[in-house]
Amino acid sequence: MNTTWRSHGFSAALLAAVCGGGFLGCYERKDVSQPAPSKETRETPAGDLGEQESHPAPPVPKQAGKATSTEKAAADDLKPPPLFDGWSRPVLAFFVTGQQLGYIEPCGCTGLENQLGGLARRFTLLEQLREEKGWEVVPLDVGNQVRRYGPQPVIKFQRTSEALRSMEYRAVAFGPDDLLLPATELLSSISPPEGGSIFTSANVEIISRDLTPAWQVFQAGGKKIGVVAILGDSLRQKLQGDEVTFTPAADALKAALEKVREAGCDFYVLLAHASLDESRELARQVDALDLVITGGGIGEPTLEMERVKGSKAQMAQVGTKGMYVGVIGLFDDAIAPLRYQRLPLDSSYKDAPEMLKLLADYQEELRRIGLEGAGAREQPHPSGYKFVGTEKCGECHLKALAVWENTPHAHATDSLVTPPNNRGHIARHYDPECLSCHVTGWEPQKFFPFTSGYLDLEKTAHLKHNGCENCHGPGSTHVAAEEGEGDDDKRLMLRESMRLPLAGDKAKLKCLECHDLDNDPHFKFEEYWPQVEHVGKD
Amino acid sequence: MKTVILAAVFLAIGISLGIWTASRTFVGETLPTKPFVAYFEQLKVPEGGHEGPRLQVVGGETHDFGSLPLWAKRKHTFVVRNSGNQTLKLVMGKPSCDCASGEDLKQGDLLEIAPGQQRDIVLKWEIRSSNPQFAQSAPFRTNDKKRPSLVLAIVGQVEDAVRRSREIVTFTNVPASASVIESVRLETNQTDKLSIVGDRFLNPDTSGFFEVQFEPPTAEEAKEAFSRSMLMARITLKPGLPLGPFQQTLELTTNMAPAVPPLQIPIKGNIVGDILVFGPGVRTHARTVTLGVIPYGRGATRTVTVSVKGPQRHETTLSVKELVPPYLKVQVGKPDDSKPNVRLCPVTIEVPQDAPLDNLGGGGEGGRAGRIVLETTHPTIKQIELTVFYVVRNTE
Repeated sequence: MNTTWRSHGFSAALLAAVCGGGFLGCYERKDVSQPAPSKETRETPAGDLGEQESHPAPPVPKQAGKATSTEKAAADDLKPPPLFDGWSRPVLAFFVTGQQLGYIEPCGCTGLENQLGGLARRFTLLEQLREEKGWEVVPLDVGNQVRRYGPQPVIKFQRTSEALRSMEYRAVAFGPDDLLLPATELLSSISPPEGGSIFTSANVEIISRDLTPAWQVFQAGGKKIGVVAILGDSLRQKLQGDEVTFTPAADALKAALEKVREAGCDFYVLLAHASLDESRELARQVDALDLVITGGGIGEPTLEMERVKGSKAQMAQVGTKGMYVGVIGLFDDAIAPLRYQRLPLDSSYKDAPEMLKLLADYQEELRRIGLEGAGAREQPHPSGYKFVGTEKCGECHLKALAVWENTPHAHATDSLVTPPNNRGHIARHYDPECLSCHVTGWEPQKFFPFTSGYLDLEKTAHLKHNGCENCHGPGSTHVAAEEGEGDDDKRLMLRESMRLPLAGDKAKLKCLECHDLDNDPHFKFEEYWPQVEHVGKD
Repeated sequence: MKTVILAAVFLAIGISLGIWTASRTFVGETLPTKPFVAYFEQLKVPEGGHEGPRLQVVGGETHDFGSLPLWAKRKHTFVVRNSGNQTLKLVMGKPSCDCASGEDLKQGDLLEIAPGQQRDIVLKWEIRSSNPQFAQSAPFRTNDKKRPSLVLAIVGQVEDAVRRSREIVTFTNVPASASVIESVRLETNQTDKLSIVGDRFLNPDTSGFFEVQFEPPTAEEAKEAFSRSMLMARITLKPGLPLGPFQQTLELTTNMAPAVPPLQIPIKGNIVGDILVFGPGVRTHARTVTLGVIPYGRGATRTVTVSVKGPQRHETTLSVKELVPPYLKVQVGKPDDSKPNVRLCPVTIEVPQDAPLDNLGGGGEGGRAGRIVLETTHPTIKQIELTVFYVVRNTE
């Protein structure tokens, strides 16, 4: 082969290679969340990082109706793939969270191992990514740290802000429930002494525009990242009062992005506390966005990111109650620049001591300010009656008392004083959110004591635990009638009113005031009821 | 001529190589070169189906039940198909809640679907949440290398006879002398004319400070509602409540009673004076500011903001009246009147570099703390007092 031929052949091969390569390069992968297995040597999974989606544990083989077989379900091809399967080291990893809704820790009522989420586990995962994997991690949050209103949620928001700062979050949006808190408390919470708040919003002004940044620009992994945070228009109606000013989301986003683009960022992120449709629409309305983190959607986040039609952006959900973390790797890869992994914060992540201390400080603050300080002020029971305590009920209802004494209801307060789990050193018996279902005489869903209800271990020792009157109502007039006050008609009427009938689901509804989806997701009335059922006086 | 032929041959080889590579990489996806990929797919995959097991969910992986009443029980049948040429295996994981379960499946069960076959997976759902929206799911592991995880989800809305636009009505940072109105929209699909036949504020301690009136929504208020009938409840908080947080409950009985039980709307808020302090390290309600640990010889500076509301805000000025310990330095900055309804005054607190070793952390019995008293020209609030916590210590 002479030189000319070789030269022509090389040119042709080069051209062919360019054509072939161009074929690949002009198309971006649709599904980047589950990339094809890489031939690269995969990094060894970090010790406690375990395996993906570990909470649906690898199953024990069982029969299942017609279509099941006896084959071992633990077959290799059904094992969960390792975490970050096929990932090389990313340029940086976004660590996306949001919609904590007050769940700074799983309540643990039904065992911490059965519940997901919490700051202590989140911190551990973050540290593992940073320390064990050596990744540059950029935590971002779409907001709604709390979902209730009052002094206790303010304190919870303050502690969460501290936690987010200590985890080195780079940008945090506001949710509508955050913005219900008093603006002055909110601003105090989000302003670190050293300046430079991580809390960000392009379209929500708290008292004054200059008190909250409209966007964040920072360096990470050798890239300049621009983050804009938005509250969706549909959530405007949830805002109340005159201290928070709202601007329509699309206009504010465009204005903020224009400023951010002046900084010449390499990558643009939108934190959208908005519905899924609103988040998609916002991504379509601006062309710069690479990634949208949305607070929209309900329940769990999706397994994969969504490519937003009509936009180059991909969108990740965060789920609710802080149960999941999304890790989004940014790669120098033209085909698949982003890869996504959804991680449930289950009990395989150990509690970080730093966050346990924060939780302990939170409980200590609740102890110090007392129930009144936490906003749990006494209110009269709708019946107007007073609580007398389980011991008084047991003077006549001997058999019922015996049944009750053999149920966990009879130890409900103990499990707050010394929680029966690995966080047992942090007492919860000053926490109104816990007390409401663990003592007698509280409104279980609104977290305040009724007049004459439980106040503390000493003053109201007779109202410890989840006593008779939580289900049957305060017994003062019933007791008085039985002890001779009033006539027979009244006595009989009061006896009748103390019953808790199964009919009309009254008993079931009563149970669900505490055994709700948040605190007891696996509650089954039909299984629990026989354990507590008792009929009649004796 | 030879050159042209050779170039054409290499070009053809290169393009073929590119298409083949791309077809392997993007198999199953919609490519701009779909016909080519489809052709090569056809060549590569046996007629019986894709290579290996291949999972498909016919009709989608999420089912929306729409709006259902509390306690309703529903089922949905998902159809899972194996379009591959080897047996597809699925193992059910732990559903997100016991209220969602497989009809004939439970956690750990193994399903096998032969090539080309499909089977039904029935998920049951019992609504036992009063949250307005609901989503539950059942995860599966599969032996499809392309889809090692599958989540079948059911979503819906819990139907309330009467829905409201806000879960809670809040009156935040309301000055003691102010009267404030907040509104909540009530909606129903069960009648064409919703009306309120009874209303009462349940907490007698503060019920005298509240009023409620009902009227049709404005066009703006009705914009995002689609119910048969709507009504606005306008709740007025009257002046006179003591400073601090309060809570109340409004109970409404509708014209659909007794079939529809009374609706309870929580009301919460806090009454404040016209002057508040906020900023880094400040607990507004407690009027404290924490400066933390200050290394001896370095000093520390913190700027907080005093906000003044009310009709006298523009005339209200601040000056330093008393400092404990006296070595503290406090400076009141120029007020900012550019915001509506509020005057913002910066106040800079300085622990000077020459401050002595000191423990004003407030800890322990009789723990000491610093104190700043600011005098004001406000007609009713003559002074405001801030408690300051800090420790100056040798950090080496």
